[in-house]
Amino acid sequence: MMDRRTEQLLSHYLDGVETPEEFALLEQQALQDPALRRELMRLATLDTMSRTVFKETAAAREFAAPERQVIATVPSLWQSRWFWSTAAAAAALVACVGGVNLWQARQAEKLVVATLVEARGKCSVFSVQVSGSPASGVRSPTTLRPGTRLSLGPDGYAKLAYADGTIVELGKNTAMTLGAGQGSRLFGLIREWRGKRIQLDTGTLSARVAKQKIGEAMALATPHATATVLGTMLQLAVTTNSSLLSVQTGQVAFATATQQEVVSAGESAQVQDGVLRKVVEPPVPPAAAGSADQDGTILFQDSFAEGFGKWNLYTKQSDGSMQPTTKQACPDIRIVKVERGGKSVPVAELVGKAPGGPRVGMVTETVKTKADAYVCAFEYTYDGPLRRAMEGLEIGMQCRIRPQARPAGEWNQVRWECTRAPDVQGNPCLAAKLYFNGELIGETAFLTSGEGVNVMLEVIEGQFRFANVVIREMKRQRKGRRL
Amino acid sequence: MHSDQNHETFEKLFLPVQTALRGYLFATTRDWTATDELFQEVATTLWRKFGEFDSSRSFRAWALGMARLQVLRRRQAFARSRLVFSEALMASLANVAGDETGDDDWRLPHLAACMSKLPPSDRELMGMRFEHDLSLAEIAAKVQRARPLRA
Repeated sequence: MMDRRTEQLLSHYLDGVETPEEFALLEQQALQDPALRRELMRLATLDTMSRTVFKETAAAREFAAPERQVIATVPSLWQSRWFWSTAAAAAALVACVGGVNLWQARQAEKLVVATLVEARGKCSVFSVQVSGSPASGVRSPTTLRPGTRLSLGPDGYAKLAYADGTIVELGKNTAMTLGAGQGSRLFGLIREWRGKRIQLDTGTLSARVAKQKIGEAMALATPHATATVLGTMLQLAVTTNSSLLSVQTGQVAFATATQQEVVSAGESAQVQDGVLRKVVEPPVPPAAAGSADQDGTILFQDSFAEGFGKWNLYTKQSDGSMQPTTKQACPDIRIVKVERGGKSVPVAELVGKAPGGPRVGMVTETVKTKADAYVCAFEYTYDGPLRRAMEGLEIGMQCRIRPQARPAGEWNQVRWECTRAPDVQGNPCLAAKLYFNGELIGETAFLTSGEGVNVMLEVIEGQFRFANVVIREMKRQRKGRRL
Repeated sequence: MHSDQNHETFEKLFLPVQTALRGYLFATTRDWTATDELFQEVATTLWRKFGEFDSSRSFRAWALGMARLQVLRRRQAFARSRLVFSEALMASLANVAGDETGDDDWRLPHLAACMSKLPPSDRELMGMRFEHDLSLAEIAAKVQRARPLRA
């Protein structure tokens, strides 16, 4: 711990108000004392971070302002000498800024901010305005420049991709404007227009934001607040008098002109009538339409509209073995109950019926936890026999959280990590850990059959039920999918 | 010419050390304008010399070493306006920053939340310091003009 005098020396030095004697003393002490050097660096770094926070907040505030208005008048000042000198300086500044703005506008015209990679719904009401010329029925992919405005109709859906992997999905009845970035700080002399700014006027937006550079946080501005994002998955829903932000992973600074909240994973915050507050039980925004529902050839699908009636029942014993409780025609499909701690817990193992194709299923377990109930639909992607993909000991999978239970309609990342190596019979993977958005939520055990792979998933925590299981054939080149 | 892959690798290494670099530059110059200018120079130099970087070594230490050299090059200019540390102490400070591990960025949202909870008058003061880069003397002058002290 520093003594008061040393703290004062450091403070005076960093504030640039030290005397020559203080400077000499500090230098002498710092050369001899490693702790003092560390403290000096810690304080300097803290100053740097404080500056970053203030600069970013100011940038976000500026972007969020719907328009700049002159609200102050200064009567009789024209008579003063100060007025005329200031006016002259201001005129020069306006001319200079005007020139810069014109240059930037021209640069922005040439530069692509994002690419519209998917557009669905009523394309006739989906318009993109580029360089003042509105267009309808836009086909994807379409490159988008700063200032582009997107408007979606009642059945509209659009997906934008940025070069760094950031994905933004827009739901029905959404209107937004794509902003130009502030340029790269990495090479500040070269204006790269790499920042991301979106003005969401109304509707819903889901974003999976890649990690952003410091000083180039992505700003998602609504008429009520601004969300500043460094890298996360989030949803933003805007109505006339409110903006609702829900964060799945990472953290987002959500700020109005007078308030700010850091919204962490699993949390929501809402600006209602100008007041920002965290939401404990978040209202459900209308989810953006799914992105991948129309991709690939569906090999198997069960919406569970008829319940679990067509699935067989098995019981998982305390020693891990499985005993059938109901014998049905198809041995690959079963519902399982788990005995744990003297309590019977219903568990479902679902095994896909895909003639000639992969067989995939899982066990879910219904237990009371703090987590909300939600429904997952799993989508598997593969290229060739599933077995081959399983040899990689990692399966890419996506889980859609049920909108009624969570404020999200977004796909979340579910990853299996094999914890038991293939056995001597060549069964590819016997056990795995299940990660949901990077968090370990359960462990899985795999069963195999002769033809394909039956996967049993046992979720230790959480209340899972299935809404839909889809198995489809996908192309290998789809980014981010591994199987 | 660097490939896109190189650029990506560079960014992955560079982004986590940005705050440390700025911290070091500010600790040695105590001038935000100089810090910003030097940061650009360091970033550009690191990128230009990235081909020479030995990936078995710490990128952070390499970057801080480069920052130290850039500060030394401009030392004479800074020394005209304020006192500047000796080369030995600058090297020691670069070592301190280079030896740290981890990314400071995760603290930013928390810092932002803390600052948003400050009373408006305090936030205004901090804004003068960190948003408008005013010196303490300039801030004091502003505050005294706005709130004249009683005799």
